[in-house]
Parts: sequence; C-alpha cells; structure tokens
Amino acid sequence: MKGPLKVVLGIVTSICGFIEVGSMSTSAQAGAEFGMRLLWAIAIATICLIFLVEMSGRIALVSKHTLVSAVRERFGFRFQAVPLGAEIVLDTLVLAAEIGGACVALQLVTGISYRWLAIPVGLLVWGLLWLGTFSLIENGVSALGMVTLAFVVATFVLRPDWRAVASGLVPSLPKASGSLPRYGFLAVSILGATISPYLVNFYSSGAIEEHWGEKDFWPNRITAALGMGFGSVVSAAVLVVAALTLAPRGIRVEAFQQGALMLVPPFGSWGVPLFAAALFVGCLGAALEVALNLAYALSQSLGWNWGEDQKPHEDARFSLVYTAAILAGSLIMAAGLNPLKLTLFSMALTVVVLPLVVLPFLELMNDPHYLRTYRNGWIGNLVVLVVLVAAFLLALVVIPLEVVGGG
Amino acid sequence: MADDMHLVRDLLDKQLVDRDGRLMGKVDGIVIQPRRGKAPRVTAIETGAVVLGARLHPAIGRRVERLLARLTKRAAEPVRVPLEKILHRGLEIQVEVDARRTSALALERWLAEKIVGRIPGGRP
Repeated sequence: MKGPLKVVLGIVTSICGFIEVGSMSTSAQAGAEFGMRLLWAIAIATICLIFLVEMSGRIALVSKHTLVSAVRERFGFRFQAVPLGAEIVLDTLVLAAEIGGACVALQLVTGISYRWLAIPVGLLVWGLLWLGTFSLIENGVSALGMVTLAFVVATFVLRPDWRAVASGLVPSLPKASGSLPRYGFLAVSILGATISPYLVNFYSSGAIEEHWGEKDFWPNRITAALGMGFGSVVSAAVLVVAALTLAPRGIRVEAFQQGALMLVPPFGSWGVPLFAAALFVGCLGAALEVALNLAYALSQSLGWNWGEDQKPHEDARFSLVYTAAILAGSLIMAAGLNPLKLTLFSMALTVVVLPLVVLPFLELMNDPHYLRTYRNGWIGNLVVLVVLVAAFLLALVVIPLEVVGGG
Repeated sequence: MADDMHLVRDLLDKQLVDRDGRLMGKVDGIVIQPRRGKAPRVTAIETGAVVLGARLHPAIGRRVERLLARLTKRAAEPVRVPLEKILHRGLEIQVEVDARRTSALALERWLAEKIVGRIPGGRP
C-alpha cells in the first residue's frame, strides 16, 4: 500500500481502536458525575500514549523486533516473567470486558441478556481471527468504527459552552470535598483506559505485521500522533456529551443502559441504537486487538513463530493462545460478571502494571543495537521518565482509591 | 576487546533462528562443561520450555517437563546447539541447523496436527 493511504488508514484504525469499552465507560461516568472537570485526564493520558506508541512503533520498524521481544532479549526472562504474567492476566480480564461490552450493546437492541450472548460473540471474535488476515481485521474495524464519530457529531449538535470545555482541560479539584476519592478513582481509571499496555504492544506487533521499515519513520510518527490524538477526541466527546445530557438530569452511569441515554437528547429515537452500534463496534475491534496482543506477547517472549497473516496450522501455538483467551473471556462473561464493574476494575489494575511496562523504554529506546541512529532524544527520554514516575505514584494510590472510590 | 562474547549480554535470551530464518525459540540456557585441571568450556546453547522453566525454579522446570511429555515426548526435549554451529550473532543468533530436524518445533507440529487440524478452518 502507498505511503499517504497507509497513514490515513492507520489513523482511522487508531481512532476506532481507541474507543472501546474502557474509554467509553470511564468517559461516560466522568462526564455524568463531574461534568467537564476530568477532560484534562484524557488530554494528559493521550500525550503520554502518543509518545509511548511512537516509540514502540519505532523500535519495531528499525530493529524488526517488537517491544516484548526486545525486553526479553535485553533484560532476560527473569525480568520479564512478572510483567508478562501480569499482562496475560490483565489482557484476559480486558478481553472479557470487551466481549461483555459487545454483548451489552446487543442486549440494548435485542433485549436478550448479555450472558446468553457471551459465547456467540466470543465465537465471532475467534472466527474472525481464525479465518481472517491482519489487514482484514484492521480495515474492517476501521470501516465499521466510523460510527463512533456519532459522539463527535452529538457534541456539535448539543452546542456546548466551549469555554467550559476549555476550562476542563486545566486540572482542578471537585467542588464537594467528599467526592474527592471518587474523582481520583475516575481520573486514574481514565489514565488506565487510555494508556493501555495492550495498545502499546499491539502497535509494535502491527508494525511488523505490516512490514514497516526505516522509510516508515515519519508515517509512524504521524500515525501515532494523529491517530491517538483523534481517538482521544472521540473519547473526550463521550465525556462532553455525558456532561451535557446525563449530568443535568442527575443520571449516574451505573450500567450501560443509563449510558445509552446520552445520545437520546441529540438524536432522539436514533440515540440508543447509535450508542449500541458504537459500543458494539468499538468493543469488537478492541476484543480482536486484545486477543491478538495476548498471543503476540507470549509468542514473542518465548521466541515462537507468530503472525495473524499465517494460517492457524502454521503458527499453531500462537493461534491456540488466542483461542484459549477468547474462550476464557467468554466464559467469564457467561458466568454473569457485571461487565461495567469488570471494566473499571481492570482499567484501574492497568495502572498497577504500567510502571513495569514503561521502565524498559528508558533503556531500550537508547540502545544503539536496536535503534541505531533512531535513538530517543532528550524530549522522548524526559517524557518516559515523567510517565514512569507518575505511573509509580499512581500505582501506589490506586488500591486505596479502588476501595474508597470504586463503588 | 570488540570480539569479546559476553554470555548473558550477547547470547542468553536472544532470538534463535535456523539457517533458513525459522524462529526456533529464544536462547533459554547456556551449557558449560567443567574440565579437570583446565578452565571450563562453553559448549552449547539450549532452547526449550523445560530449560526456561528450570531457570525460574527447578520445580517449575520439572512441572513443564511432565506436562509436555504427556502431550508428546519430543516437545519436552531441549534443543542443544553446539557453539561451532553459530553462523551469525547480532540481535538474532542464527545457527547452521534445520529447525524441522530438531525438537524446537515438536510442540508446534503436534498442536497443528492433533488440535488445530481438527478445528474447522484449521487444516492446511
């Protein structure tokens, strides 16, 4: 595929990969409970994500080794074993949450309980991976994902006070001091939902799947910046719409059914089906990516043969890893776990794993064996250092916040 | 010296590929032979889930071995490649070996045949 088209496609994919159950539910809850006040969390998290994603793409396109592969090779298995194990557990939970989100979307329009839909949706995810190719999955998800732009359209239809939107980009504390733990919990959940380790690793593997090389140095930068940037615009739009429609009516998002109401004021009877379509497509896309990422991470750490473009019998270990993960995710949902609770829980848990994911960047991105002349400059290293320190601090407060503010 | 080879830095945990570029696993272990009256000699590199498991804890190694042996005996055998067979050493370690003739792909092939082949769409 030619350069510019590839970049455009990459950007569209990122937008649609961005808006999934995690960012949708954290943004909706934040908007419903605190108005525009938490927009800054999305903005800051997006900037961090852009830097990390660009780096994970860069190391792959220069060295032809993905981030997970490089961490194993450079730091050894003993260093990697703990973060890898944590990521496998976390990815399985997130996968279950995404499958759950897609099931809830179907429940909104059909009325059939999400528990009964978990196995069919899991089969759909698995079938697409088993029979499809990387580009089919990427292009299919991006084409369908255009529906998530409904939130951006809704924002303009609702004519927000742009000064209030802008002031939300500046961090501030909530008015009622009693709501501080909840505010903190949602801020951390937004960070976890946005800076997802799976996205960073997936992007690195995607660069290999698409045969990126050194000539893709700038396309990688542009895709990372614009793709993640626009993606977060959709995420911010969800927050703004929730702030304008749910907050004034005192509706808190305790289940997706309440979240679905946010598109009713701008779109009338089309509101709920549109919300359901956006949720379904976003979650389906994310489920495909998380399942693949789990198989990528394990295969690359152990040096197995991997790739979505190979037939399942050519990389049997890789294919059976995502098969097992999807089965586990579907069963968790079929057992009747609350999808929204699981989502918020796993987003907060992401923050605990984050320092271990970010730490290797400091060393690897300056390693001439991997990056040759494409090593990090001082800006890149400074951002990594700031994210690392922030992630450590957040990891310390997330457990108490989970207890006090999670309910 | 530029030609020095550091076992942990330059060999351990690197990606192992065969002469045709097939991925054989990572370098999970290094074999050193003690010799009476002489300095010990590095003889080979090893790859295999059992070697890797044993690096975390010997009990994990034994567990992995029992588990794999139950599926197929061959998958539990580590692959040992003598140092002389190393063709190229960089981010990858390329060795003068045909991966298909070793046990490196034994589990892959067993799973492809016994499980993937029996699932619709999984047959070659």
